Amino acid sequence: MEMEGSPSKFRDWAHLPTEIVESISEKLKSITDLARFRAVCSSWRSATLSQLRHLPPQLPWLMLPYVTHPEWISGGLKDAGIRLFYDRWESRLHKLHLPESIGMTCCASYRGWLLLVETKGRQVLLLNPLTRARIELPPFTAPVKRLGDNSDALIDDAALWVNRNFTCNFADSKVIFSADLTNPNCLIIVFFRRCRVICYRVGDPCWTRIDIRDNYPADVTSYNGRFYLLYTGAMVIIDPNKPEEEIVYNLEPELHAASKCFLEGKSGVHVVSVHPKDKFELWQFQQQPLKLKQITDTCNNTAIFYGYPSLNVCTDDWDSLDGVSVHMNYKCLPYAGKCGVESHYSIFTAQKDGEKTEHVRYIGKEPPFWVAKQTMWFQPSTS
Amino acid sequence: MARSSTENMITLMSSDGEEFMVTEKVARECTTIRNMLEDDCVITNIPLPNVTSDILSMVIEYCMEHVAAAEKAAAETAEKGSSSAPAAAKANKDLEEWDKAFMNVDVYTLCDLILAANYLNVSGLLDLTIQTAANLIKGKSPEQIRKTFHIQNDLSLEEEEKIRSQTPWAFEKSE
Repeated sequence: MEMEGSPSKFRDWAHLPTEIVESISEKLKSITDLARFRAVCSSWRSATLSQLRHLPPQLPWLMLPYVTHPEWISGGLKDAGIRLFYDRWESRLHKLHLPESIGMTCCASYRGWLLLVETKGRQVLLLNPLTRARIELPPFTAPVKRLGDNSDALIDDAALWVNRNFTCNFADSKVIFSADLTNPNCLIIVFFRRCRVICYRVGDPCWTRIDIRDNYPADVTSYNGRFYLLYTGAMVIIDPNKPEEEIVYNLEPELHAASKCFLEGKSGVHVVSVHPKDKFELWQFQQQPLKLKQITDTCNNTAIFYGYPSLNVCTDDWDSLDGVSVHMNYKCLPYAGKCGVESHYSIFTAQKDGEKTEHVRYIGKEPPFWVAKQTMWFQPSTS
Repeated sequence: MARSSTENMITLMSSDGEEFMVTEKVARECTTIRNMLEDDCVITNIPLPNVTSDILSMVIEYCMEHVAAAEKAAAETAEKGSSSAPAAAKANKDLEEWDKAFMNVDVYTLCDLILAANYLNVSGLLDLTIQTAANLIKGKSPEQIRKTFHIQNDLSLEEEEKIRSQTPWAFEKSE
């Protein structure tokens, strides 16, 4: 639609008052939309210099697995470090060039960061694939401290997992932060499923082992400076300053048999339980009195991204999602065809008005992803 | 809209000299005018040199619709003691639909409405117009955004290259 006559000086979108340009940019929730908004013209760019601050937690992209081992890469192909992320909301595959990840397994992601581990755990790195910022972490193979032990004694618990398949253990892990990464007290917590839970504060000489029981937790989270460990029939709450005073909460009987995990991205401690036929239940942990309460009235725009055994995250406030939905990632077997290798991935979405499965198809020259690796949810962030 | 005879009328004058007579209640939807009225309660004629008549008539239309909706809700609450939740939800939805239809304008008019809402300080209209502009931006490439809003690209090739290298993932062509 065109207005008759020539646009007057009042109708120039490029020269709106700065505060209006700012207000428009603040309505954009997607990191990609905001980046493109800032590339329109110089006045829009300068009006949004204090960019990306207001962005809510982003809808996750699906990170596709890649081959790490040089011996698995056949036919003389070299790993160029191109990693693929599927943006379901724009139906587009982002190809990020991340040379840092060559030879490193990407085993977990959290708030815009990827946990990259050298195949045998000798090098560990947090990488933000969008800003390329990186944080070096101590190797997983080094001896660790025990939580609450104030002596300098280190334990070498590598025996716990040295005989296992390293890659498998790493691929089955989770990383979370106890606070904002810029906070000097922030703990980086890494959980190796069926193995151990360790944490690290930037500047510490080594990792500190958190789990002190004989059996392994099913999941771990952190809230208000405390650690929460989820077991088959109980939840154990540990205050890192008083680890000997752990609190044990016995779970509701109906939760014992269910597969369960913590949900990240919502304030407080939330547990998702999965019953047969992919029936999900959301539980919130109340502190006083200690009680796990089932949430039946989930607010209207909550989307749960279920990534068992990796990150399970939820986002609120994305009107476009229109209602409560659960998204699960599945991997199908790759298929080697004439023109290259085709890999299929699926996103299963359950909504109030029914279920649908969406297929992500990627045809690449890369060798098939035979590796037993799952796709992974990744929440883009530039902070 | 029914007006009580005791209600004060205010005359708003557009930049091109057209006069619009509105109730004080409608005029007060514009915070800028409300402040003027509170400073000087006998004022009845307000010139608005920054707003043309076509835009001013749209702003008034918006304010009248929203005042009417608020009055209707208040009347229902007074009648029944409390307004029923389904009725309130329906009224809200109706008003949302009205807003949506009201925003079916070209980008030049939208730009004028944003500036008028900003100048007159009509928070609801400002929010609505800004949200509409943001919706037009979502999912578009910088080039498509420029085309939509008739914006000249004044970035130098170097600047553009720099922007693209900072956030390359935002500028891929979809496959």
